[in-house]
Amino acid sequence: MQLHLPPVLEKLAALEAQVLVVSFATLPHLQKWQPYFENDFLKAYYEEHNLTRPDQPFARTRFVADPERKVYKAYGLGRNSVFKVYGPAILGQYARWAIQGKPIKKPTEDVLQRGGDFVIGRDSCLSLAYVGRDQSDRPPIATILTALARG
Amino acid sequence: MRLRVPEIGEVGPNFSLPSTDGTIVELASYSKPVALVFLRHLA
Repeated sequence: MQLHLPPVLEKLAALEAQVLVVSFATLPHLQKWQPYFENDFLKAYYEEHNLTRPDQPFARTRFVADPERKVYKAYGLGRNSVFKVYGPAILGQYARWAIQGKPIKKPTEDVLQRGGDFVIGRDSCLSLAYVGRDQSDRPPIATILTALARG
Repeated sequence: MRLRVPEIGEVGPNFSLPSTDGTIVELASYSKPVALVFLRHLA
C-alpha cells in the first residue's frame, strides 16, 4: 500500500519506474482481490489521511499470479514458521486494524508463505533484495525508491 | 530443496506470469527499473 501513496506515485513517475506485485493466489482470485484492495484499503487510507485520490493509482503497477510459486522459489522465498507469522508485530497490526474498523478477511491461502521486496535495474541486475525477518517486516519505502533511483 | 535469495548485483531470475489485465508479463522484456513486491497472503 505504501507504494501507492500519492507522493510515492509521483516519485515512481519521475523515476520512470514500474511495480510488479506478485501473488501466489490464482489469477481469478487475484483479479477479484485487486478492486477490493483498491476500494476497501487504498481508498479508505486516502480518505483517512486526507490524501487526494490519484486518478490511476495502478498506472505503474501490474498484478501477476504465481500460484505454483515457481517465481517465489526462484527468488528464495520459502515458508516461515508459525511463530514468526503470528508474532507480536503481526498481532499488533491486526489489533490496530480492528480498532480502526478496517475489514479483516480470514485468509484462505497459505499464511506461512514468505514475501519479499526486490528491485531490478535497467541492467536487469538486482539493486535491492529484501526478505523480511517475519511477516510484518518490509523495507522502508525510501529504501525501495533509493534502489529504483540507481536505475 | 534449499532456497537461495539472489544477491544484489546478480541478474534477477526471469519469469513469465499472467497479469490481472489478461496479458503475460515477462520480466526480461519488462520496462525497468522495476520493484517486485512478493505478497504474503492477500489481505
